Amino acid sequence: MTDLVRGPSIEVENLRYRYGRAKDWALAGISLRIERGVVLGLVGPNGSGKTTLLRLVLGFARPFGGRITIEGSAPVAYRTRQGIGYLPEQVHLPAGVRVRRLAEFAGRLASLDRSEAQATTGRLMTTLSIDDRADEAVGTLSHGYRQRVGLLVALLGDPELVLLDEPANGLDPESVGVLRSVLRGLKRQGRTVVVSSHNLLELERHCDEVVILSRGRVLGRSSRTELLSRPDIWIVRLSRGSAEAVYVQRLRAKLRGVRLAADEAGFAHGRAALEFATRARAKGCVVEAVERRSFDLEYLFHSLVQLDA
Amino acid sequence: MRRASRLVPALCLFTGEEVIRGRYKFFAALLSAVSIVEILRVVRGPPSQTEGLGAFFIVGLWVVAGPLCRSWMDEDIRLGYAAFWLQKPLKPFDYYLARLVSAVVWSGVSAIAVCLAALPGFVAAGDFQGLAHLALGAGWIPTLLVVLSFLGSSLGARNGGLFAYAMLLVGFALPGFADAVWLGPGRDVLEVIFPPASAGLLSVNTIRSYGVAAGVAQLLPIALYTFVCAVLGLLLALGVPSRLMRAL
Repeated sequence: MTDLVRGPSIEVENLRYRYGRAKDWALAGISLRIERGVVLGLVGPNGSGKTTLLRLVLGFARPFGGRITIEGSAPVAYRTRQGIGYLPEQVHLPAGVRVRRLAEFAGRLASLDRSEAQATTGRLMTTLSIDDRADEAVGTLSHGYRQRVGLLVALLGDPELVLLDEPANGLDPESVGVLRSVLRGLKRQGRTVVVSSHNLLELERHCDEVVILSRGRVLGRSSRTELLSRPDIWIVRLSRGSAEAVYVQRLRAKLRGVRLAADEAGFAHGRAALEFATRARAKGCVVEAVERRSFDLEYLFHSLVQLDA
Repeated sequence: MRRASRLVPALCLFTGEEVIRGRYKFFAALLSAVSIVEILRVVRGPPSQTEGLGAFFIVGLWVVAGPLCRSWMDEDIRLGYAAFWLQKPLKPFDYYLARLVSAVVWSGVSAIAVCLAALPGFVAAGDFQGLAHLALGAGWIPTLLVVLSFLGSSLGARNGGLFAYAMLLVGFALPGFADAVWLGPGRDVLEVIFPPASAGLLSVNTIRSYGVAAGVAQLLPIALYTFVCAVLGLLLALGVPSRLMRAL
């Protein structure tokens, strides 16, 4: 965490939202608090509500229930007063306009005067390594460059809250590198950043906290420190049929094992894991593997999502 | 309002780059055609050519507004551009007001460009005043088309240009329905919905015969119609964020 904290805090209380007459809730009562200057990762399977949550934080629609406040204000009031940096999942920008003109225009929208907009655009284009494409039309750029232009537009005006929706989607390693340095920069500057991604390794590396969503609900939340400090876990993987046996469930409970997924049991100690594997084999279950692995975000995510399913 | 007025210059530059830069060949060809045809009519035709010159001038006004008649709002929502514009500290009303004003400014510029292109022909015919009358009486056409396309896009029309041209065409054709008894009270409704375009064009003759004041007075209904369409479009713009939420 940096000494200089500029970003706002976000409070989400029992947030509910659904699209049109859809039967299922896109967000089914989410509550979470995001502290000032925190980089928060949102992770979840497709359709878990990550994008909807980001759009509601932007104030693009009113929730059906619950509320969001950004630094005590409603999202619309905050956005129209301060602006929010937002990079949507699909970056569509007017194809015929040159990158420089587009950026300067976005700067003017962000209340910068002409010279300020030009100066900020130049600086950000260097940071994002797109200064060599400044005079090209947006429509001629590759996906990676368009994503960077989207990021450039989002960051113009120095927003203190930045929302990034799948920013690394389909990016080449060079663009991912640029994105990483931007994230590090935002973190250093103490802005509040919410980033949704499927790239768990990236999230684990850059986020202070990670929230796991599934079917519009919060399944779990873990800070980076917690993830790093968790001891390794012993896993016994059974074949599908064996995992469903009632016996396995009882044995797991008896040996204080955690059901991590439909066909996996996790144990804090290797001895308990081996004992479980031996007893399960004796009862005719097929044990596919007993292994030790770190309790990282990927494991946490898969366990929680599979359990939820 | 103040925020919108500060945005107008930036939006004018942006619209200019977005619309004009990629279509300079179209504009050059159109304006050259207007200029050449008007001069040829004067050189090859009988002495009095003002009527013919006027007809081609008005066709030029119809065509020049084409690239400006975009589905601004619908594109913003459907393609998600608005997610980039409306994340900045500004209200949708201010943004779309500035957007509309910049399009109107460009429609004025395009009308002036057509006037300048037609100028040599009218000067050659010795009827400079005729061009001034035509410009005053028919110069509203690109602006009305732009405003109608803005309204169309706010109503969700994917092709705002088609919407605008269709509205204006029906507006011109509507007086032909005067004797259409079968329309009944429907005709009164149509007269409110479609632009009073024919009345607008009549002002050209009124300006010639009775002076500028009388002609301009005749243009008031079309000005009012344009204003109401603009206000309606702007009111619908307030719903852009929620439409964006569903569309993205």
